[in-house]
Amino acid sequence: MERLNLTGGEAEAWRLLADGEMPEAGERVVVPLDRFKADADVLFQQTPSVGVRLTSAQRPEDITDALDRVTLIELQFLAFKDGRPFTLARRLRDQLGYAGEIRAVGDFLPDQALFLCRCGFDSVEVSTRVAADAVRNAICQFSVWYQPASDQRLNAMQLRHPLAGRRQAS
Amino acid sequence: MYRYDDYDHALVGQRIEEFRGQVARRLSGELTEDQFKPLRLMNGLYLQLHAYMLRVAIPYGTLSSDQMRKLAHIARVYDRGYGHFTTRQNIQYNWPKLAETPDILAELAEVEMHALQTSGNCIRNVTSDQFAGATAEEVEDPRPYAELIRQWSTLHPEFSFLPRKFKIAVTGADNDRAAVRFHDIGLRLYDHPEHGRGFEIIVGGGMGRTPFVGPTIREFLPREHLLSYLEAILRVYNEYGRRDNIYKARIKILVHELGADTFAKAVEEEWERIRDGVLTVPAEEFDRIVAFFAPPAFETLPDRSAAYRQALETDPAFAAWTSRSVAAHKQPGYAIVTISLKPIGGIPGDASDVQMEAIADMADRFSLAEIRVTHEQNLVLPHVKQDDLVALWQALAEHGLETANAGLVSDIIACPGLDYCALANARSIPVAQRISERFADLARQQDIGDLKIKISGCINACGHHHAGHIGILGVDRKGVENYQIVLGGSGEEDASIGELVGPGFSYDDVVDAVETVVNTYVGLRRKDESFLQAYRRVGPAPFKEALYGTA
Repeated sequence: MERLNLTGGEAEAWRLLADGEMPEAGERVVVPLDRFKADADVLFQQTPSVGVRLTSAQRPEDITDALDRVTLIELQFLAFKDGRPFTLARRLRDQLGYAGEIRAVGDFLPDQALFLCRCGFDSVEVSTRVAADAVRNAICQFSVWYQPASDQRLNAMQLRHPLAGRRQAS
Repeated sequence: MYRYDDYDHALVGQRIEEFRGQVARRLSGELTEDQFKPLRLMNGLYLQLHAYMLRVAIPYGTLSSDQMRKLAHIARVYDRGYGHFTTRQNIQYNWPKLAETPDILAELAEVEMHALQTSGNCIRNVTSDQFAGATAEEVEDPRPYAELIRQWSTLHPEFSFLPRKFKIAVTGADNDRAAVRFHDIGLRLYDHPEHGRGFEIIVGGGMGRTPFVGPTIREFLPREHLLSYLEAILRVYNEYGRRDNIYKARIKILVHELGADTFAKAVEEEWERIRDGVLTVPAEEFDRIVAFFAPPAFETLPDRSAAYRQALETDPAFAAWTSRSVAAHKQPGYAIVTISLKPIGGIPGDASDVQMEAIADMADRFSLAEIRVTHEQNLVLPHVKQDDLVALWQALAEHGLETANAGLVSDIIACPGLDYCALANARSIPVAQRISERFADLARQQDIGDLKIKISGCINACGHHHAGHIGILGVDRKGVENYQIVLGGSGEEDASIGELVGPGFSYDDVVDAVETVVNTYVGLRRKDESFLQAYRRVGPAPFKEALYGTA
């Protein structure tokens, strides 16, 4: 597995726990949503670094109470055509106040990397070096976009009207 | 017209370079066709029955003469000398070579055009009233709003992998030429008696195998909230739209299954979270876009041209053409001209490179360099001086573009059908050609009056058969083409879905069946009663009897 930050550089490794398996003391681990809901307290006793993995079909509202304890949320694409994780990430960032890391895992396309970035994802996990290179290539090919989204980058409308942006911000 | 600035140019240019790289990876074998497919679809490149097909976006159907000249150039240099105008106000090229498609996109970018989001499960080209900015019927030119939507929806990071494709139409007129009730979202700009100017929001209309006339989910939305409200609708759809069955994935199914009220409530809840935020369009940006659509430099003219009036009295052929092709303009002394791309026996919506170039020249000479594409697969010159109508008509005739059938029985919408499309079950284009030839006599067409025939070669309904006064649906029955007839549909402000009249007809018999329907109407109509009015009065019974002899 290759893990990389969408801002460049390697991302931290987090281990996906098997069913019933417990983390080593202090280990960075990820568990599926159901395990997290059942065992969160036990897991946090073992390590402060517990992440949770949501598939496209699951909802972040289910873990709203735990969002300040979690430092990694993995959003798993069930298929690259299933674009629900883009909305899940934006909800986490913009509406649920989640400030930790969001990582894309599963079946997405390297060519979707810029969209991931703009929706609030921080990192990705891909299975090959070729895919990792394609992700790096995809995020640096573009410098302009039209919409405001969940990253801090200015869009074309804000660049066209810097004064309007300043007025809005104040 | 909208003009690109450096940001627009950079965005489109970067996308072309990305696609050039992807095509190179495909040609070298690094990408398989399966891996390449989602990438090419982002750029409007389909693989059809015989070849690739490139669909070029014409935002809200507005073209400059220079853009039309470029479309002609592409048809000549990269294709087989013609292009096909579509029901989404776009143009399709049926024979591009894969290796040359990045060059085609680069040529398009020179005239501020692209093929982004003309395919795939994203927000497609925004359509509008082809008479926008020229008709007196509208409260305001809707195209600045369409341009705002174009920019907001282009490469939207959250909404480029929706459950299914997504189509938005916007009109500013009561006479609905944009079919807003048959869109995923239809927007009608109007003046509310208390709240002032804003949008009626219609969601969940559509054709396909499950047609719906879209319900209104919000009676009034202030204009500055347009983008945040659209974002709320799309977010609810992206989260809750069905992904288990491609035939149930359009938003119309979600709206239908939840009920319009429940769907509207979910949208309102989402909107409350994001309204008054960054999606509120700053006045500066709105003013910038509106300025591009300022009325062109019209001359001050008398309301009615004497030369035009005289020609109407002395030349019956000219008068016949004007009766179908000329519509009232908001500016005194001007007219809106529809150019029929439906010559008798021709392929609906096709234009040759020579014709496109001639139309570009005519637009320069007669229409302040502006052209429109209609969803009925015709073209429009929106700003023609009445004094010039005779000269324009003569110029059109030199290129076989003077057919006086706009809105008549031979002005047929047809999908590409089995001649091109990999999804089709039956031919559409040859059926349209044969019907057109059957009713070739213009005097007979005029006597029949307003009549919209729409033909789809499969259940996906790209030929809008559900909204045809007479709709024809080609199906495959045990390996043989069979054509069902539906009656009484309308895509306009009185939107309705056509009703199946009975068992289908063979390819050979379908033209006779259409003629039987038309003759039945002619026999039972009251004075000045259109086909649609007559059908709504009498219902299907007389037509069934004429077709099937059932008593």
